[in-house]
Amino acid sequence: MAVSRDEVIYIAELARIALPDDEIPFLQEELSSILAEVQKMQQLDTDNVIPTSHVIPRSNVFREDVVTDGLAADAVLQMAPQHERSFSRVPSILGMGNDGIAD
Amino acid sequence: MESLTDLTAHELTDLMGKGETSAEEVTRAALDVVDRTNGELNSFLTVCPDQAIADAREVDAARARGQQLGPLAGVPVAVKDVLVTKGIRTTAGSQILDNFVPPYDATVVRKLRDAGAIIIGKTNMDEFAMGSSNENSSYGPVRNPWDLTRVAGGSSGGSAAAVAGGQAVLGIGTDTGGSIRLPASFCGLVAIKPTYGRVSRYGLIAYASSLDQVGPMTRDVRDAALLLEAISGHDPADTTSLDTPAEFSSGLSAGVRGLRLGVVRELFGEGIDPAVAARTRSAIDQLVSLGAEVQECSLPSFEYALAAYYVIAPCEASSNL
Repeated sequence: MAVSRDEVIYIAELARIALPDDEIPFLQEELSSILAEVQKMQQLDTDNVIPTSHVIPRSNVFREDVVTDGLAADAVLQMAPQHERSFSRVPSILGMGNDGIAD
Repeated sequence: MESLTDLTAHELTDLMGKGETSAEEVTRAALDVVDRTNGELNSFLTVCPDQAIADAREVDAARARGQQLGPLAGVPVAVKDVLVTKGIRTTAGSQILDNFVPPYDATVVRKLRDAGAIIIGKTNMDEFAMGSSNENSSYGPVRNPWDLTRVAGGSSGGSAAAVAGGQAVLGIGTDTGGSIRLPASFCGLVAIKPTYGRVSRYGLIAYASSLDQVGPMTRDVRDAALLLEAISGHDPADTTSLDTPAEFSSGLSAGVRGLRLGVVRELFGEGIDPAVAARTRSAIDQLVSLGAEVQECSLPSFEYALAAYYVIAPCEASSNL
């Protein structure tokens, strides 16, 4: 299989998803089959294909630089489990080693 | 006919216009069917009976005052739980959002309200729109009203089952890789995945932003046209939305005479179920007998379509979520 046990475990860590041992083989298969689809694409010769960023004729959309109505901070923060002033408090993600403690 | 909700939106607006029924009566009929059947269909995750009745009463009051009403006034609609609704819980079929109550309405929701439609609740779906059978919901699978042992399809299974089961008259679904078309097919509905950019994605919990579209799920073509008209249009809050006219109902009676249809050779290739192929061919024959011109064409890049989807969609989802 293209994807190893260790790779599945690593991906689960990155996604912050708890992964029981017995689910690893199934996910190995699933992830490998997605990679097989990617490989299919890599077989294609795209030398003469213009990179496509958007399929409909739409280019940079601008508006007047004026203040308009937006959501009030307290409406936005209503659903935040924790907040501090006008910021939402979340668990630290960046700079965490495998033991979950910030570097 | 067992319930007022077995009628189409255009039939109901007609009856309401003539005073033969009211928005409140139709809405109560819908809520009654939901009450009786949601246990077995599991199509609705959140039902808003009080708000729906209040909205319906407002439509009836406006009609009594002689006010101009929207094209969908008084018609019960089921909205897939992937669109945010102000003050109404929105889960995207996930336990992660089990207690999430959005502070704003998606543009499609606002347009439905402007058109006078009565939102009766939010429907079940594959979690974050990822799935094609509605078995991947955190809230249990949706059952097909035609046969409770079968799936309703996904990821807009809840909306499909709601409309097919008479719980609502109109349904709103979303489609990234088949999620309107598939459940509509499984539940015997008319539905459309609109051209990208036709309908605003503002307030749509995103799966793959360059593929997602919101669309109508209905019981006939006229209702699909009416609903698509109501939700279409350029939205400054969604810069990928198009500024093109969205008028579909006036052309319905013109029929298909002279219409040129392309039949893609590759779609009848390896793996197609013979019964599906036969049914599709007979539908094509019927269109020809009604005056359409059919031409076979080849789109060889279709061979890579699924692979391209499985590169684009997960990549965009991993960035969105």
